[in-house]
Amino acid sequence: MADLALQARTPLQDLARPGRFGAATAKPGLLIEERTDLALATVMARRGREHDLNRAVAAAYGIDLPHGPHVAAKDGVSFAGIGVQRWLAAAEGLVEADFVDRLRQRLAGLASIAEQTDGWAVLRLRGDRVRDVLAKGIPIDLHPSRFATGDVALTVVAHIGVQIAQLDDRPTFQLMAFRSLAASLWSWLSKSAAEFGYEIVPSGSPGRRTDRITTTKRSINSD
Amino acid sequence: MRIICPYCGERGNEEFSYLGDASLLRPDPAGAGAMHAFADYVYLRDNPRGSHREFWYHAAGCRSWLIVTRNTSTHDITRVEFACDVAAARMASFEDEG
Repeated sequence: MADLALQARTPLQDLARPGRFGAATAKPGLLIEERTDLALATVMARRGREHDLNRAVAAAYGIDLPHGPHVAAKDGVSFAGIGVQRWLAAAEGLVEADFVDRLRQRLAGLASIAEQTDGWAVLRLRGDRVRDVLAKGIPIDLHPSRFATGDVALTVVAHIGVQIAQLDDRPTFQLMAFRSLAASLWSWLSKSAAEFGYEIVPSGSPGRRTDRITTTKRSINSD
Repeated sequence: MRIICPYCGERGNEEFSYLGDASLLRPDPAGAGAMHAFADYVYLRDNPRGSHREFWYHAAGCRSWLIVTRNTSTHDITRVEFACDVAAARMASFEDEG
């Protein structure tokens, strides 16, 4: 009989520890925050139900689904366009602990929903040199005249598929990759940011994802 | 070479993968001469110089299948369409013909 204690871990838990790293610049050029409080799900419209889906999302969340690579947000819930009739829905701070289940109920018959909550590493990036860091890997133009607040892009960084969005005019960018590639993304990001100096800040939002998942204990009968 | 994806905008071709000729139509397996028609469909390709309609998949972006009209001698791209739109239009024209 053995007890296995499974503990939830964030994708960058062992890699991105809070602190100051890289060149000893007067001020860190990049601030990095791992977001661990987002409930995530992909939403794919069922054929012929596109208009009903638009209406249902507007009624439930007060959001007009973006038709293009943009993100629309309200009250901590957002829908980002990631392809034709496909979106990534996100809820900050687990606005509703059962966000994805409720999404599935509210959009039943109109869209296919796939839970993604623990599948992605999510980083929020800001600072005076954020565009200079991103320019080392992101092959698309992030100049404010071409990529502005509310824009979303799926592209590659160092052969890693990523989703990038600009969240505000500061600017703050959100960079996401599948969690199995988090260490590779971190390798690129930490080296690219080193010359400017960077600071890893603790996740600022309450309701860390790990708190929701209770430690699972399972007994295995050796018989 | 850069492709203007109708969803994502202009991207480098490293984000796409290439399938080939988009003008091929799968033969009717029950039709007369199906064996020869399939051999042609699977193995034989023209090697045109000039305008060519071809499938590209935006693998590292929106994951859409696209039909790109490209000049094979200059690489000029004159048109990019969603393959699903082209297929839907083709189905509609078949239905119109009865």
